[in-house]
Amino acid sequence: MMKVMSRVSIPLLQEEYSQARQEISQSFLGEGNVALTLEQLTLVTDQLIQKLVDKYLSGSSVCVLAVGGFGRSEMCPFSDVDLLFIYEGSQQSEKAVKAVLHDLWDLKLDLGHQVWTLNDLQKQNFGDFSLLLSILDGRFIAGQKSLGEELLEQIFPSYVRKHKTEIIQKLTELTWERHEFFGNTLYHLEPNLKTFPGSLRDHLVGTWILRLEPNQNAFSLYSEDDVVKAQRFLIKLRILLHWFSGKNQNELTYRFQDELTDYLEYRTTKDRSKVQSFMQEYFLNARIIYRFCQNNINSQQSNFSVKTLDVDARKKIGNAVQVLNIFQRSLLEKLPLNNQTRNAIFRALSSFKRTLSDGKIRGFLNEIFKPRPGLHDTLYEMYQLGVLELLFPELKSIKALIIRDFYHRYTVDEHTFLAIKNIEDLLVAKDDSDVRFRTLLEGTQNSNLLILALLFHDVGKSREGEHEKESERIANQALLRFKYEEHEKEIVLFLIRFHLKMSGVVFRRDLEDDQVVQEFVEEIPSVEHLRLLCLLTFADIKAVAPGTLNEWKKDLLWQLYVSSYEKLTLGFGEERIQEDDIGEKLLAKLPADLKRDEFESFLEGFPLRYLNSTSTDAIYHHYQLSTQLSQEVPVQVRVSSRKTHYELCVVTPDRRQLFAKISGVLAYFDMSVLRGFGFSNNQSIVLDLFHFSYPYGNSQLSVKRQKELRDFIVEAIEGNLPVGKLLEGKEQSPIFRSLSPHFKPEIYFTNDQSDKYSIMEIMAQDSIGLLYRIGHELVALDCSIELLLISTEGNKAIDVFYLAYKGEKLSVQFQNQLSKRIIQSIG
Amino acid sequence: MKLIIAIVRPSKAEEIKDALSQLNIAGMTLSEVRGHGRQKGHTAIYRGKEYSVSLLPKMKLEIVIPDDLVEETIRVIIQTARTGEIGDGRVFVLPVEEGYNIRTGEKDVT
Repeated sequence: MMKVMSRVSIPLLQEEYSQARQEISQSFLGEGNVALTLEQLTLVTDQLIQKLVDKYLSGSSVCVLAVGGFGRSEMCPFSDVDLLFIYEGSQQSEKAVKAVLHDLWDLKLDLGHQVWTLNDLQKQNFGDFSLLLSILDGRFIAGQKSLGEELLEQIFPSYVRKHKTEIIQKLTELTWERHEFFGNTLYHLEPNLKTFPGSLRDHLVGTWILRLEPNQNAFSLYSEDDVVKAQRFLIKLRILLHWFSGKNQNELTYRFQDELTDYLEYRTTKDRSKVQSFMQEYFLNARIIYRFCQNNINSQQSNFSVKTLDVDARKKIGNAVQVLNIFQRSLLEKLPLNNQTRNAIFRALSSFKRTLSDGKIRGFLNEIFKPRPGLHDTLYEMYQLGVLELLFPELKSIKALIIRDFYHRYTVDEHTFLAIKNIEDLLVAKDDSDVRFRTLLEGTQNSNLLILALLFHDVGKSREGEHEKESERIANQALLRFKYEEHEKEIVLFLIRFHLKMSGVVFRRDLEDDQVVQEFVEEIPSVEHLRLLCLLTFADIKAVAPGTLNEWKKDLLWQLYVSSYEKLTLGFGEERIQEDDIGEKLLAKLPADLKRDEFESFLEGFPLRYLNSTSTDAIYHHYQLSTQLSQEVPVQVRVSSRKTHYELCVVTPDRRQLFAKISGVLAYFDMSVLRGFGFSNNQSIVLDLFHFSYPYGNSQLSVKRQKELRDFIVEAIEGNLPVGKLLEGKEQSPIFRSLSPHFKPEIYFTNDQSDKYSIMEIMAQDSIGLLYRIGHELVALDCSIELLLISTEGNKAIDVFYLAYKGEKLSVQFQNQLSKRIIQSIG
Repeated sequence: MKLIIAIVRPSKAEEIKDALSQLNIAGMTLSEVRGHGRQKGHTAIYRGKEYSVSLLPKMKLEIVIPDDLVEETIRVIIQTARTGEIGDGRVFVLPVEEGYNIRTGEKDVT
């Protein structure tokens, strides 16, 4: 026990106080006893104040209360000393209080004080809310005890009982505001132990609510003991920070992380450096405190009439699919889980098989990962409860992982979830600078895969080397486990592998240089890949730190997107395959029954991008079809079923009206064309590929219907089936026109993009028969189609045609005439 | 002392920084700015719609250096930032009367 200070001379008091603190410091640094240290620091401060009160306030009607942290007896070495003076209102007492305060200032204490009469305190409902909260921890120190007892045992408890619900509600609002101010995350690289989410302030909020409303159903993810230990850990760090810095330092900066790591003797492990190990322990403890605070607030939801998801608590959760079903419902019904459901999920998880690989789960994940309001909160909750880690144990490696660099503000896992939130936020973006990126999100068919790629894009950061390659490797294991489709895997792995590529080009290369854009585009298989990569880059940069993705960077990113988009669409046919472009890699895997020379001739003249955007197997297949062409069989048609659509492949010598005939038959069969291309090689062999879906019924085409479609196309191409006549009845039907609300078609021509052709770009409402109607007008004006590229974004069709009239580019007059006819036909 | 302000292409900033470090010039301020000189932006086409990019993203470097390093610094900046195309940027040289170190309170002696 410390020596009791006995004199009242200020220099002597100061010396004694300083010496007592020195002894406490040495004792703490030796034994590390947190509770004893707090108690001793409080005691010597109490004694100091008592001495001054005895000196100036003896016999007067003044009472001194310790409030706030000092009131809780949680004095850290350089904590504020918060005092509340209560007096009866006389001038003499006021003078005496001033004298005490002057001495306390001379002693250089970090003093916070308020002076009130009991009457005024009552009248003004205990001043502002922070004073009311500090009195919750009030404690008598010195002076007239009866005044203190009247306040702390009668007046204040009675007021709090009466206004309990309002106090909890206000406390909740302030806590959410504070969390919001600090980005709603505890995972900051340089956290503040006193104020951030997961800090000692959160522990206090949880404790206050428990004290105000003890009979409640708080969520028990962590035991009481866990919470006590976590709080002790944070206080220990705070005491050390104060001693090490010699001031009221609560920010765990890089410098102090290093010092504390060494002082507390953390060791480097297989996966983490010693500082990373220390900070992981910090984050795990801060998370316990964060949850403790959140759960105690959430347990009050019924008082604030917050509606939660209705889950039958009597039913036992027996498998992961049931868990995912609950989260999916939470998303769709836009209702949060309640503590009972959280408890049930948490208890159930431990009984599941450690590594899940159920193909059915993939279906749920694809549905849950679709960007929509609440996605981030749902995924975050799944992560906090351990559901995501159970599905993807790979995420453990980035849990609370810090990577110190100049840019990142958050831990790797937090950055990942923020990136997902950035995509969710785009859905409701209003600023022009964001709306352009929102249109990309609205246009993609694979937004769920984008979220999956974001979840994995940095998992390789815990490993040595280039993290994007490690992330790709790790993600591949997970995708295989859940039996993701080939095309899904391809997109997710592409996005992870190239997730640094776009920002690298944007910020380090000259975007005005056409070659830079050309090189970038060569690695992008399709517009859909570009769109997703741009969105991922947007979300990734924005999640680095607040303000990182400023308008300047958004403009540059958009500039690269637009330049690349132009190359992938208008410039699709700019470069044609020549002999040298056919790499050995492609030739090496050529099936033995296919001839190398003929294969090369087949490819020559196709757009170069065909090689980049088509799988090797598909290229071989297209060639095989061409080898089966003969005078007797001049058309090869294949219809095959894919997971989400059908694919029509036509290989035939070029002929007039080919496109109009094929699109006409597809329209007759009510097919909705999703994307496709068509072009011919140097030998005038045309390759047309359409992805289409059947928008009615169960979206399935029977085998018989597929055969009919094939036969109709062959007959139409060979001229035995007049397509115009076939469609006469359909064209009268309103169903044939439009499937959804209408918008005005836009047509754009350029003669600058290609040496030989005019390029026409059409954006129009997607509808069955749209392509046929465009094709019909092209035939009517005798335009030849050299190349076509079809894509669909949501309900918008975007089609690009390379056109010529009698071997020449279209004149402006001709373009206007064509444009007018097409708009009349499709408008 | 002189203040050198250089407005350059964003892609050139890192390169200039590295080149200047060869001259032992490490202290500089870099800012992301938008503006135009003779280049006056350009018109881009996206989905058939023209939109003008009137203020182009550029990088601004500010460096305070002793008088005897001015010529060499300008030479390095121009050599590194030049592509020969419109939009390469500008370099300005301004006199600096005094400079102080905030941490130590000392006046710069040149």
